[in-house]
Amino acid sequence: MKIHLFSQCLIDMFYPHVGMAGVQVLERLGCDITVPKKQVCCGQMFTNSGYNQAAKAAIKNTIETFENADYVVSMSGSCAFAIRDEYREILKDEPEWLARAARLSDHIYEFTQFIVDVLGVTDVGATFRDKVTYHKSCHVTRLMGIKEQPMKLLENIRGLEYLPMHRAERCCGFGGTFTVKQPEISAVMTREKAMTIYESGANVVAGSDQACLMNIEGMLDRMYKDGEIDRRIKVMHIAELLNCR
Amino acid sequence: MDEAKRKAFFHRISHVLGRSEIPNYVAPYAYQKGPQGKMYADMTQEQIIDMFKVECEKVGTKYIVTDEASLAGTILNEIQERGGGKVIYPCTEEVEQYGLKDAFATVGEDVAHFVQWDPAKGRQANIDEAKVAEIGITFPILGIAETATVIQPSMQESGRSIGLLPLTHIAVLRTDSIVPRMTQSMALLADAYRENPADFPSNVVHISGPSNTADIELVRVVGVHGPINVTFILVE
Amino acid sequence: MAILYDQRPFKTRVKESLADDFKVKAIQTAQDVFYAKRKALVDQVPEWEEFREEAAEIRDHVLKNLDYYLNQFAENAEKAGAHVHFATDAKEANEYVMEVVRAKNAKMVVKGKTMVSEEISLNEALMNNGVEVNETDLAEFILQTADWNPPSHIVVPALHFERNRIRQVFHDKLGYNGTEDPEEMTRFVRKRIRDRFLRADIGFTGCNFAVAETGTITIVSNEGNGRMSSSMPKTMICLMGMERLVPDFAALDVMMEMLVRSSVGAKISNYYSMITGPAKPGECDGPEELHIIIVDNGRSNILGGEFESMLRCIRCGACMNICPVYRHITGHAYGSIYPGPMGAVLTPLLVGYEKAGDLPYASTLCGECWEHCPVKIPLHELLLKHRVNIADKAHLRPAAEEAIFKTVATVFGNSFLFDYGTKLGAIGMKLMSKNGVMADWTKLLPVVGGWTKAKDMGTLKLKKFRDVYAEYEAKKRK
Repeated sequence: MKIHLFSQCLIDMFYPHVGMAGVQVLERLGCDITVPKKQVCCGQMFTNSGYNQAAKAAIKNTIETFENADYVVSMSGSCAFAIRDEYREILKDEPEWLARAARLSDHIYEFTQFIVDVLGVTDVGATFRDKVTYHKSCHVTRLMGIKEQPMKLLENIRGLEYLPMHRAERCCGFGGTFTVKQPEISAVMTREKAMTIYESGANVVAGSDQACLMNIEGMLDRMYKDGEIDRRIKVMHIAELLNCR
Repeated sequence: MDEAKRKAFFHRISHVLGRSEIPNYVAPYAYQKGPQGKMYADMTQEQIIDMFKVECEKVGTKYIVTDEASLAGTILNEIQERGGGKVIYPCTEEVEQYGLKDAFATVGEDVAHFVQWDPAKGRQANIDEAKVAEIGITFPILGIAETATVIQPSMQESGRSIGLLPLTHIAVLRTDSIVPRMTQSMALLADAYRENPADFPSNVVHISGPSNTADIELVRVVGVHGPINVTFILVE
Repeated sequence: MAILYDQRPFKTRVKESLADDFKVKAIQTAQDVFYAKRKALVDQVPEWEEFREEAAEIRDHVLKNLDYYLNQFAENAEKAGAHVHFATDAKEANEYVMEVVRAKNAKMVVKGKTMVSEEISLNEALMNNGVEVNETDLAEFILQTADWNPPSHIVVPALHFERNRIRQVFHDKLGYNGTEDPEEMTRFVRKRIRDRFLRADIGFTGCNFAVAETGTITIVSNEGNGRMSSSMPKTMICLMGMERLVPDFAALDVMMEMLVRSSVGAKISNYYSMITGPAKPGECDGPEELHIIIVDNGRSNILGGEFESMLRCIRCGACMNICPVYRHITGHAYGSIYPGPMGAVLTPLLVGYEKAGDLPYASTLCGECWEHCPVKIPLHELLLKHRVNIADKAHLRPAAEEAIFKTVATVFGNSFLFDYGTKLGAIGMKLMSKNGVMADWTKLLPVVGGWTKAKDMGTLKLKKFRDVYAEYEAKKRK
């Protein structure tokens, strides 16, 4: 199956190994992957703040890059949501672009959704021996309605001990530009999220949205450094877990 | 002046809705999405009554089951149970029907003192009696099983104050008037309105237990402005 | 209280709220309690989504035909003997109230809970005219006694008061000498307000739903103050927002299913009153006169526009019972009588972006409010629409912010600029970092500092994913 990978700018800039994990998992499942060099950013960080006009360059670039692909797989849930559900609203006054956005929205998938719903795979043959909890990111879980897919994939990882997190679906406080516009509020929210992760007893917290994970990681590392929590908790994209043999 | 104001008020609304005046007819909303009509459809009346009792227990509302013949005695017992004192009751037909007056007459003044709501005495006199009564007795017209609710209309013969001002409210409900949920009770009220709008009660109150609050640190306190005790007497 | 009761900068209000440990804890406990109770109930109703669907449709149906239903309501309420008045704004509503006050020579009034009265600053209008006002909802009574302290929650407005503080306020203002036991204090209030109920010249209430077919207004309460305000005084004034209509009694069934479960996680409130006209001749209690004031106050500007779905709102508070932002900043940070997600959408619509343009940014757009809203208002989408209006259309954000966003957007819209820019950025961040983590002193920087004050931040990679992948691909081809 031929797919185009949308890596997400944060993964591109900060977490290349997450992108590679995604590539390797999908290749192992028989996908023929293209990573278009033209891709950059879905534009969400601008539309999230209300700058729709400014975001159009990024949005149109994304449409041009991916519109002819059979399947587009996004390593980040919130970008997939933006591309699938938000582009049409933003481009509603530009009929030609609207039509192109609509076409793209039909074949964009979030990473776990693609594996489970399109490839029909729930066991990728991974092994990961540790205690893992899962952060259910807002866009993926609520706005895209992808609830079961990541859970099924986790269930079938050999050796993985899943520990539930209290209110796992509660926002981590990232919220796109919220985290820099309202840093004081964001910090207390992320701190609460970090504490529920800590209290789950897990050594690893996973998720499928790298932005949330970056936010959570920053807090967990700081809290560990400051002695607020007594064990280091590793933050991993679900692709990394699925890529462990 | 007021007419012109009203016109302008409506004009603004019609305008934003894209029309020049108020439409004469609107197709009624067709209820179909909600499951309310199908819920509890298979239940027998007995099961519905049981649901009422279970819900009473869940929320801590006291209920007593009795029959028509024993009702007067049950009420008297409950009055004693609640400490007696001044009791106010309506002048509705149930009072005659259940022979309550005769039963009340057998009770000594030291136990309870009975006063009947009397429209002939006017507003102040009736409220003055109700506000110092310890117990008020009413006869709700309907019950809702899902929420252990009784539905009490106001009328000349039975004022709002009776079930509101005293510390204790005893509501006497016939079990055959219990419906599964508000779907049925609202339908019955709608029928009553459609049959004769002018006779529709000015006040219909749904009562689901004693008044309460959680306004101070979310601590539940029973008894704020309404009754502190409520007893439902179910007549089979 | 006006819609906006605190006009200090948003940041100031947030800072103050975050620092109040008791208040934050109280709101979080309330959220947790309501969440658990609601969840337990909703889990018992497998058809919950169907109910939500129907509730939203009923509200939309009414809004699309609001002129028709309002007219029908007014006609039927008048037929039942009520006086119905239409007020375009707060001033007109208060003027009408004062007309009744003068006609009745009213000196003292009792009030059940009504948000519209807060919207129009009714208390101030009454007191300025020498009328004694008595809030009768226990929480609102506490706030009134504490010199009109503002509410921190729409359903339980005085949660930010510890019992000790309440005891102190009651002691100082009312001569209360009892303990801080909630029950004892509640009994004290019962006794005091009971007297007011019986002596009041006018009883004010709000209206949860008004029924067009019958001219009925309905009032939900647990404490019985709504029932008292609508039963004891000879004159009753009901204030209702003009959107608060349902077609018929059948709709009340659906709305009650949604309202109380969503609000406090109970199946039903203790009292649910349906009031159709004043007391009938021969009735010895209840209002002899019933005035219904239907208030627009900005709602017709919302109707028919991109925010129309906000008018579905039934004021249950479910959105603030779930909001992860509200959870930390509490109602006071919003500075509006309408806090939380619904308040962040509604307040700017009622008072304008100049005064409340910060509120739509008080959200992570996580969507939990929408998921919990019993009438399916897409609150997160409406918040985003506000942001677009503020940033893109009205240009009300700081010029520097707009410039930064535009510049960054240009870079992130072009792979060449992005590749080049992030390489420079990676070098820059390396200089600012220590062991791969942004250095401590970056706390002092704008934007980045907001993050690094509380959280660690890794550095941009000189070799980005695209570079790593290109190497991987080249190797594979070999």
